[in-house]
Amino acid sequence: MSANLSWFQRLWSLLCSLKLAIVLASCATLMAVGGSLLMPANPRVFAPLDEKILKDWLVDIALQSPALTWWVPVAAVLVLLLGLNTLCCVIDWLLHLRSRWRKSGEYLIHFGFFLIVCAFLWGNLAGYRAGGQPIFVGQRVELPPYGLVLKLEEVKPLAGPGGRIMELANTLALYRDDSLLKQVEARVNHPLTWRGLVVIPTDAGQVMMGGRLRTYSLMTVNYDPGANLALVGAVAMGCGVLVALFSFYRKRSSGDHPDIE
Amino acid sequence: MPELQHGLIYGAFFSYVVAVFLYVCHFRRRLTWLWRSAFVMVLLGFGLQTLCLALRWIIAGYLPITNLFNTQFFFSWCLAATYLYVELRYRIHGAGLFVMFCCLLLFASVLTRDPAIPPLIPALDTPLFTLHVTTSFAGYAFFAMAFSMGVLYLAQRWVGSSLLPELKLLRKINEEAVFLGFCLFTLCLIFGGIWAYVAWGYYFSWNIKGVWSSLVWLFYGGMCHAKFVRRWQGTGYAILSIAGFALVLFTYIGIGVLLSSNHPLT
Repeated sequence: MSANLSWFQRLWSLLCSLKLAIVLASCATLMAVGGSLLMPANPRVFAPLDEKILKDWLVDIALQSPALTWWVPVAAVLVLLLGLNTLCCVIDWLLHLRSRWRKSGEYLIHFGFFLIVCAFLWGNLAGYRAGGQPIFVGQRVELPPYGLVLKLEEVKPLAGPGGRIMELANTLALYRDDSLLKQVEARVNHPLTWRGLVVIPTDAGQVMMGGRLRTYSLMTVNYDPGANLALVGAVAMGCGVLVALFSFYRKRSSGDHPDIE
Repeated sequence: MPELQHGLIYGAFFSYVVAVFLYVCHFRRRLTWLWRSAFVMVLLGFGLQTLCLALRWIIAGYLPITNLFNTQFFFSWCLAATYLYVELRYRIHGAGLFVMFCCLLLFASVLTRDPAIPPLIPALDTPLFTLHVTTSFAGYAFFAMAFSMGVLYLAQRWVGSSLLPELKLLRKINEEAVFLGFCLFTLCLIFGGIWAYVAWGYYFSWNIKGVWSSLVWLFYGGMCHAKFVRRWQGTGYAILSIAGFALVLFTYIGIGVLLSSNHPLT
């Protein structure tokens, strides 16, 4: 039993190890530095990374060009391990909270990072991205996964100073079982969002159909179930930064300086 | 109004040139009045630059950080602010000269560009953009200060000059600059991520600037941990500060010049 405990303790110290964090961060950085330099020269392979979730990209595109893309899953695994390492650090910190509460800011940043890594993984496994979907005014389109229906109600130009048209406002309505869930005037930087679903109008135009001019909008429809978790992680990180800054100046004013390990 | 802006820009540039000249003289002669005069000139230049920035902000109706002239002007302002912060806190006089030199170089390149303020396009008309860019350049300025301290640390270690601050102080300022830069850069990525989500529907973009910004964050995150490991303290940390700034320079300038990216600020 004691041998098991000591084996577990050794594993736990490795998982919480600061040196492991440095090694993983360094390996992920070096891997991505080298790999990312291939990106501009191979747009056919790497440009769709923003158009698809990572799982679909790995299956549809990366497998066709393994020599160019192997570094992406390797870097992703290293970042996942780093996320696991930060979670273990946070748990270890919670177990010793009485003596380490002054480090709350730093550990909030760790926790936020872990949440963002989880959210990224979730969104890139269970989400979807669909860009350039044309929807006509008055048309209803079904959207997975909640049995939602999106309707484009109106497209109107918004004039800037001097009367020049600067952008288009799209009135979008989201329904489920004919009951209205949300209605917004979507425009640049103001999308329709609902539980991880984000609808962004990217362009608009008019086309003759059945002898009548019909207006349509091109929509980017993305679904990321981890988006709200990522936001929680970002808030945790932001708060962690503010607390860490405050405690840093407190420690420096009392003459405290990093210890040698 | 353009005449006033020109006056302020050239006034600030002239003040920084005189300040750098006086600091260089101070390195050779070690006279108190030299560094005091240099510091006054930096303060004067910073005051004029701040006034110019405020004036342009009022005229534009938004913080002008949207084109190369404006970002370089703002970055040089951040560098001067960082220098003043370190100088007021630690009184290292000419030791932060590299940062002032960077500030001067940026400023000199600004003078060759058109200072006209472009109209704000709807995509950039959000406080998230302003917060993203300001925290980014403030972070970069602290990374530049860390680089400066790293170079001085190595110089002091190998040459052992009485003209330079003690190793312990250089190490302390280096660690502080990395920590503050990392905090600001974390905020930059948070604001950038939220902005990307509302603008494009995803919070992490695989464009090369986005990838390298994450690498810069990861690298400096690793450095914030490395200061607790004996092997990486002092010389190792100074070398990491220099390597980190190379990553920053490539992310800020290299990608735009050597590669193509669809990041809105490339």
